[in-house]
Amino acid sequence: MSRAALVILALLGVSSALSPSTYLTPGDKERLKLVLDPAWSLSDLAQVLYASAGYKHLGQEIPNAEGVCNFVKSSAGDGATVETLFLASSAGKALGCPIAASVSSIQAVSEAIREGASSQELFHAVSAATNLGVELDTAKVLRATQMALKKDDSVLSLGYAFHVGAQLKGEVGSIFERIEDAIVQADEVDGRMLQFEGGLSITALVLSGAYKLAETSNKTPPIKPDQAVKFANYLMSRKSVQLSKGVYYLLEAVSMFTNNKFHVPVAITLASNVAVSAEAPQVQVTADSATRVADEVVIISKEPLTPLSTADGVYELDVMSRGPDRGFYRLVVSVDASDSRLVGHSAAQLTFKVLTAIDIQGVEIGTADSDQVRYPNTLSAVLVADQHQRVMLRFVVRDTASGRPTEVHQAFVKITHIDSKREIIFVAETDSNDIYKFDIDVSNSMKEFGGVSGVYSIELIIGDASISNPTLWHIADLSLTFPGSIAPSSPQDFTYKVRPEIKHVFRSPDPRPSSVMSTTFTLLCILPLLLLVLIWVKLGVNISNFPITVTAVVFHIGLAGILALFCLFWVQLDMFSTLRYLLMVGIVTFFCGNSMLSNIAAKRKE
Amino acid sequence: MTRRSVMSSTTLTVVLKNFYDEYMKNTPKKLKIVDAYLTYILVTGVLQFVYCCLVGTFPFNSFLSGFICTIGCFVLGVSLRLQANPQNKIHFRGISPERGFADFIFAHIILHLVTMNFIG
Repeated sequence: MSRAALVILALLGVSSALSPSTYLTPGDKERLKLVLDPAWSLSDLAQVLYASAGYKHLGQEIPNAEGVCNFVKSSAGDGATVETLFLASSAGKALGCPIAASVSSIQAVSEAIREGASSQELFHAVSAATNLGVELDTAKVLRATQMALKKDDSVLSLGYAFHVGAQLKGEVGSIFERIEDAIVQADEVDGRMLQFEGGLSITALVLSGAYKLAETSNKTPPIKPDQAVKFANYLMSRKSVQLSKGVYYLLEAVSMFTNNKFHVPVAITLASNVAVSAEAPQVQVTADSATRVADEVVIISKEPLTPLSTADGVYELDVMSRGPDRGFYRLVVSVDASDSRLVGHSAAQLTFKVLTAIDIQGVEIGTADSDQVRYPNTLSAVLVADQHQRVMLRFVVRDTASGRPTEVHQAFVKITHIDSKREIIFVAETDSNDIYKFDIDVSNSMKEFGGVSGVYSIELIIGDASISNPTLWHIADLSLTFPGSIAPSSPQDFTYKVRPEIKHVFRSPDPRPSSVMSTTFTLLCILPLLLLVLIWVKLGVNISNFPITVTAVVFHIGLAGILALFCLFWVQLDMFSTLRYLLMVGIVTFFCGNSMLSNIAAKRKE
Repeated sequence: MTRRSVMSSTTLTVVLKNFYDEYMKNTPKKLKIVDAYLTYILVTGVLQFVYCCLVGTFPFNSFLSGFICTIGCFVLGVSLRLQANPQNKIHFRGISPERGFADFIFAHIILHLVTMNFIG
């Protein structure tokens, strides 16, 4: 049952990062290529530059190279701006079809190199000039660059200046000194990455510029090895970039990191199934130690790893031959290389786990006297127990690799009532000799069983993160008898099913009062009206004074009409039709009332 | 003790009688008509309230609209009385009793429309 666990290490010289993070896998490269691909529709010169340079770094064949070349050449015709010239000539260089310098383009480029230009403009001009083969006056360019840096000393501006310096011949120490200014401005992320504010493109631009400039001036750049590793880590964290510009800068910086005289970060990872690539440097890989995480037992120290002949950069170490106990291990790997450029290659930590199989032995189960059972059989006879007895179970979990008893994370005894499927789970615990013991006192555990008599099945569950054969074993059936007969609850179904539909229930109205009561009060409420009329009669309301004019009659009829309309509104009409009728009746009533009242007022004044 | 209570009840009757006589004699007829209306409103409101206490508030919106309608009518009636009272003429200069009555009618139409809408 023992499974051979081979720890295989992949070591990569090319695409790189701090151990043990990551590197550009073939899958990553394929994805980056897909990001670049839309450029081949030849609509945007900048995209073409990013794509052709990116393809070159990836080592890909450019499709329709001739057509692309013609497109680039046609863009760099007369009247092209310096930026266009830069894009076209750089793309031409990457494509391998150099663009011939015309008189007008040489003039445009030379004019662009002047004091007062920004460092980005200078970078475009100088790059275009270099690509076109135009001779440059180093002193003049340096002066212009210093002016530009005086005006704007941001990281971006410095990055362009480094690229300008890298393309100049002669003494460029004045720019080289500024590398340190740029590097100190990098922000650290989580203590494992360094980046410049502004993200991938600025970071990549500054890094590639700094290393190129260092190479031109033949001096080690003021970047510490651990800083180089952190920058590489940042670049690798951005390998999922989706913009072709980002891909271009990323590939530029990564290929710069793999091909320079100073620092080459090394990634140490556990090899996946993916075959790994390219030019592994000649190195000696050593496993410093392999430590079991649980108890810090060291099983390997200072062992060399053997290179795998089938794949470059892949090293292997046979751990199983040393008979390790199962569990998680921490492997510390270092790379010794004669190449002093390599950084981030010592004490890389990797984690692996050793799985072993277990078997269950010495199983005894019973009440008064116990029976032996062997895995995976089930005891043929049904055990019988009543409330005066105890049910006991003993077993040993043995590691098949070492042959010794061992402890596992999970050892449960699951007792299931066969009719109702009700489960009770107990924990089995070990004694000092790693023997698992489990017993239930039937009378004491009546509560757990709900006092339900009947046949129960006993199952053993063994599980652990570091065993290869977790086990569920039906050991025996057990007939339990409890005093008193409690009917087992009906089998409960725990699967998810459609619940009964929830129907909305309106609140039931309060009970109505008896009709006698309500009628009485209706009459009582009308009674005061009678009272009113009586009082008015007693007071001697002067009805004879009623002005018999059309307006007065219509006004009173209108008023009565409005009140009648309100009653209709209460009984059947809706608000809108009511308002419509109200408007009609109301206007008539208003005018009549107005003239009637003004008549009265006029009469009173007389 | 007895004498005092007889005294006080007598005084109260006298006061009430004087008050009633004074009211009947000095109050214009128009105001009496309005007062009769106010009394009618008051009694109706009280009856509704008694019903509510005896039977309960169900249906609540009907009770509310009826009761609040009486309150509204009462307030409007009092306003009309204030404007129609010759003693208050100085406060309502430029507002004739007819204008006051027109306002009263208009406000009632609005009040009843709302009441009918709310009564359910």
